[in-house]
Amino acid sequence: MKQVLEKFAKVLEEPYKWLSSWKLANRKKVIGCLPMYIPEEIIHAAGMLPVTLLGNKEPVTLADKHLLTFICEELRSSYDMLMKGKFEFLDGVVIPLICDQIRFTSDFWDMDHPFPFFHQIWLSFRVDDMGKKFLISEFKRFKSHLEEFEGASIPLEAIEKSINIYNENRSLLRKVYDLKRTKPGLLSADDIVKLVTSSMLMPKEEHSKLLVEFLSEVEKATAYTKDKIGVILIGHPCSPPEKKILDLIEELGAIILNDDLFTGYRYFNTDTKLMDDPIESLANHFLDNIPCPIKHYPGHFLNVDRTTPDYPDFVINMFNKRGAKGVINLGVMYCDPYDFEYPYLRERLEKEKIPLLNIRTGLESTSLETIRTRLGAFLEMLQA
Amino acid sequence: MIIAGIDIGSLTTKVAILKNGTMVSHAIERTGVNTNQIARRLLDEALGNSGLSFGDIDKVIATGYGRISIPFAHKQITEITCNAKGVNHFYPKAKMIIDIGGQDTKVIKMGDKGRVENFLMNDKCAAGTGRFLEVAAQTLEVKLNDLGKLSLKANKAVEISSTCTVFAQTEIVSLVAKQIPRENIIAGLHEAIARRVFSLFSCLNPEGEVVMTGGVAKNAGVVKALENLIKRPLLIPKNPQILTAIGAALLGHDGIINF
Repeated sequence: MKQVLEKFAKVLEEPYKWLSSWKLANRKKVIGCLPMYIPEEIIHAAGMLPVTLLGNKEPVTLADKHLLTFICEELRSSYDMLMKGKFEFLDGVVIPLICDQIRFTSDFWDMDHPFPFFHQIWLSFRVDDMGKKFLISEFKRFKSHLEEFEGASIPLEAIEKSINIYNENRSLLRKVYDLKRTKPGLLSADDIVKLVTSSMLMPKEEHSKLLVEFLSEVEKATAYTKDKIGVILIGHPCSPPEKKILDLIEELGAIILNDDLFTGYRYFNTDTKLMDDPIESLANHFLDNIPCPIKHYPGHFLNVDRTTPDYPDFVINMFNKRGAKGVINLGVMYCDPYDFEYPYLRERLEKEKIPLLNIRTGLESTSLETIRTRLGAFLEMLQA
Repeated sequence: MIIAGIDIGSLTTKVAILKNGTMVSHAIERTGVNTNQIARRLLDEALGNSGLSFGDIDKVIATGYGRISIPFAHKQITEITCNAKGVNHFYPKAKMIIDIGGQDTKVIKMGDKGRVENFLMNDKCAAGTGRFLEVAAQTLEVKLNDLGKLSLKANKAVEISSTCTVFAQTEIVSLVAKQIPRENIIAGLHEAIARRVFSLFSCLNPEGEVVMTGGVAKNAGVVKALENLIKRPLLIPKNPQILTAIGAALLGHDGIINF
């Protein structure tokens, strides 16, 4: 099992070098997608490889010249990588206009480093019929732009096929995730992050093959069970959380029963339901997916309809469904959507008497030792 | 039953030895760099003072920043939980704790029987901690222990604008150059630290009696400035620095926490 895990880790060692060689070998175009919610299936259907552009751990040096203070670390880091020439191999970049931080800096990508293909895509913040109409038109605009770039049309059947390939990958990731729950101690939270991030950086077909191999190993393995404190992990909306913090949470005796991290459950929780129109299917996938701080539910806001769960409802349901004892938020600095949602979330959790711990991660965080004290005290609190 | 509680803080290490639930000895010393050495040495010192030896101990509970580096500890419990236990033992009606230590500040809200209900820590910046006062005392060339009584002689507290311990040093020097009396500067520094701690404290929706622990509780000036902000008297233990070590030993006694 460790050997298969190593294959995933290999992709993550130097992902963009790996992708450059892959591109040469396969003679296909590679399109970089900033996090998150881009309808990659359309790119895939055009015969190109969509990859998620994540930041890395290198100190940011060049980006500070261009970016203001309030840009989150993830964007700052990926922009720095762009400036340092790490994305030369890309044929294009797609940027989702999902928050102020990304909106204010997306033009810089095209201005400072023009790519053969560059597209900014709006998502619908409103989750309702009006929002759906807008989303479908945006996805159609994206498709047309890609067709123009490719010089060939993208048949709807090809998009359907790509949706199925993506669904297959999601379903396999869900299987691994469920096994992690039922065999505690076998896989770490960081292992899941590795599996998801490697999926973001390689062809889904190849990744699914590796997952099938991995699953057969995991299904055979036995795990030790030890009394652990169940927690729900939330936060880190657009970037992978640090391994050392995930390891610390598990080392101190907690087990993560569910999460909503971008490089976790959020990535694979539901399949795209295929309808007659694959574009509409993709739009529904975004709208029906688990709640997110960028999504706005007008029914809630106008107090006329609470049947669709909002973000705090979702967290509370996760907590109750899994029988967890507490919620841990891995907060990132300068994430406006999350910061705006957080006070409302905290208020709702307090009302439900659900213990919540907030940990700042990234460069703005405190040392690991002080995080150890906070986590330790929180878990002691949950046990008492 | 003899239980030792060792609280290895970033600045000072504290030891409390309880015999059948009553404290028979305690000791405190600067931690220094080698946490393992200081813990054992201080423990032996405290044992010696009460006519005991290492072999007499039934359990050792380690807490504080350096708790993970004590190989002879039976259990490690965070200082949050230990502090609450210690405070609840002496002040069973208290609901809130303000603990200003050498390099961090904690505020704790307790439920029944000293159970921790909620807590917040400021450990990102030294400006709301004992370190702030240490640096100030050095700059003003006064003894740390004299800060409290000097500030009580002030006729006005000067406004300190620097939010950073390091930059406050420069500000202090310039205030002295302007012939501002030392006492007034110190009173201003106490108000600055009290404001920061108060804002952390307010986040917990405080209610009920408030106990103050940690070394800075020995500074009457900070206590006064804080009391003015929270608008109620602070309860100060006789030896505010060792509450956490006592709490650790008490937890070992009750065997409450089972990991």
